[in-house]
Amino acid sequence: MKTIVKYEMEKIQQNRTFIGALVISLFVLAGILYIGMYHAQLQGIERKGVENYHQIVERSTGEFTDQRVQDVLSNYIGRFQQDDVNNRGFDLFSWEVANTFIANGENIYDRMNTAVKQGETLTIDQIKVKSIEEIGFTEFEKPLKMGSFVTWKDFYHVTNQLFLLISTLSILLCSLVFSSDTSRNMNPLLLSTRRGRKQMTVAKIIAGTFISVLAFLFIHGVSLGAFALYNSGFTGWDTSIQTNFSMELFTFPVELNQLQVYGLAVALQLIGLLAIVGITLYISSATRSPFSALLIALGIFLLPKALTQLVKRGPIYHLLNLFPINNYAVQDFLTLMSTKTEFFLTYFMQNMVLTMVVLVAIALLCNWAVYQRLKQYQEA
Amino acid sequence: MQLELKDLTKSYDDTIALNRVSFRLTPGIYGLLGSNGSGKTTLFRIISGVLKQTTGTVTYNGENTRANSDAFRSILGFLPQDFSYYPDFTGMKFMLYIAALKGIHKNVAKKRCVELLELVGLEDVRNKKIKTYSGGMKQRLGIAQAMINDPEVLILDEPTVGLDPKERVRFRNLISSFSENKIVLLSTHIVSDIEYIADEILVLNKGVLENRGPSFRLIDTISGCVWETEVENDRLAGMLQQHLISNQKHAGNKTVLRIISKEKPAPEAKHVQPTLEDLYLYYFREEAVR
Repeated sequence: MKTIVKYEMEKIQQNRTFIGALVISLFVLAGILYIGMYHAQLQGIERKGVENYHQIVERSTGEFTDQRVQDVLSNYIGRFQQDDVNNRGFDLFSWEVANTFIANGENIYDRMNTAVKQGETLTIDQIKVKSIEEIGFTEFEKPLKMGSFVTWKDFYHVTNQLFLLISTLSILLCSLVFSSDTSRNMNPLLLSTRRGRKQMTVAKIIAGTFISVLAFLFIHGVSLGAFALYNSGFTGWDTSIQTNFSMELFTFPVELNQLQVYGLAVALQLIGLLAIVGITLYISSATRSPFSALLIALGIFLLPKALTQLVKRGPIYHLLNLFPINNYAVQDFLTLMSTKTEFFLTYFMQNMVLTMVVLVAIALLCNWAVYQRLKQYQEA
Repeated sequence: MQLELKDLTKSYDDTIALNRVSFRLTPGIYGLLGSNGSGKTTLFRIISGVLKQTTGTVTYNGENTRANSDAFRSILGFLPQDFSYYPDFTGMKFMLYIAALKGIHKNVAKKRCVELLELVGLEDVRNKKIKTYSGGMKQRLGIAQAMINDPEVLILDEPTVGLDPKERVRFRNLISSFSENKIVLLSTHIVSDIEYIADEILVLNKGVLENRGPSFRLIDTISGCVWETEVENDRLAGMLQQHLISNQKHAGNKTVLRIISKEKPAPEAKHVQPTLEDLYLYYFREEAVR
């Protein structure tokens, strides 16, 4: 079996379509990382933004309390009014905090500019700051933790985009696995051999799945490395997801830090990928050309997204939300799975487990269907 | 060792590709003679298990090959018609891949593949990519892969396509040396290939097995139906239109025609010894006329 898997993997690797797609994917990966991290808003024009950001984060990290919020905002408006307008950097961390805690009607930026012009200073006491309770942050036994979140928001955004890249690449490679042999008219030869129906089918499934998972791990590995460079390590890993002010998940009901959320996102994407691979392999086994397999598989991959634009309520909507295209994005799965109206069950973790079980079941079912199909395969 | 086909029928909607074909094969070389669309490939695909018959059975040593497909596949060697190879595989790698699919152990497979590639004259190019092979080389590689598992039943669909005369002689010798205690069933359009090596010929016409037997006996069935006559050039066009001509050659200002006909085609026509080619034309005259 190991030998057959090795040959099946070689067949995929030598396929020109796959080689071309791999090269393009590397360019796309570089593009996503460049735009998402190297060219992120946080970097600023002089590229000192991340350094300044970490200085502010260092001062602001700790238990999430009203006092800490006051301190952050007090420092923010102080710096804002002290710095020369032409050299003033954009403090994204504090800006997001201000955006969350200062009522819209306060219009603090105009007020600070006016104060500076008049030689005065606006202080925190002159501004109405909302309390944590007023906003409705979820409370747990231990207080939430505040810390770096802007870089993590960028990292999540990159992670979301990577899923689309990996899925497209996997769909392309898996659409080749069976249909390219069919289009070459190799089936009469391969399927008339002793191991051509059972072991070869399993070997093809293993090869397609293995390369897809390998691509997934490689791409996420590179992305993790790029993030470590961008974020100067993994600072902020233990920041509560509720205090990621860019994502506005204040009422998210489960006590999770940003690293745990990343772990869940990657696990969900990986399981989603297995389902996508399973479906694509089945389509590949049922079509006569790799191109039709690719088109059908891409259509099925995207279809649930299109359908959610038509159906927005009820069990069909819940069902559509189980598909990877509707829950691959970090913010999406955190929001959808913690809301009863969007998903089947009441609790986030229940919905998470349900989704994973369904996706694993889809993957297994499709692989089993491919195996049965090839075992009984007859030429038309 | 016995391969038996009983009342094998294959139909597609209104078309009957095979119609109640029955025969029994014991070790030996069998040539399947048939025109395009006569059902040869369909028959081979059914025997090799990649196509399901509508009715009828195929048994090997009394066991239904469909019910015991794994066992049958392990003693089967099959060269299908018109398949592509993996262009970036080397000849050796392709052979090893097929050996793995046939369940041959890695160590044995390597030795066997080298032997077979040597036998088909591909030893020098075994580490070259298949995309650099000529049509004849690919065909020889196809023949070699069919023999990897030392099959008891070897089915070759048009194995001599693309082979030059020297390669065809080599192929015939290879099959003859290989066929001892094996059932070899092959089809080809090149009747001389069959004539030289086949112990028996099966004539398949429009899905029906019309005749079978050693070539001399089949040829005998048309003795008295093959004529040769010299015609003046002004009568040539009329003769060509009226009769089934198996050959024509110029002799001075006349033309010598070889005619297949149950009746004497011209008063001066003389009987000649029929050949397998004449037999082919006799059975598949419609295609010859076309």
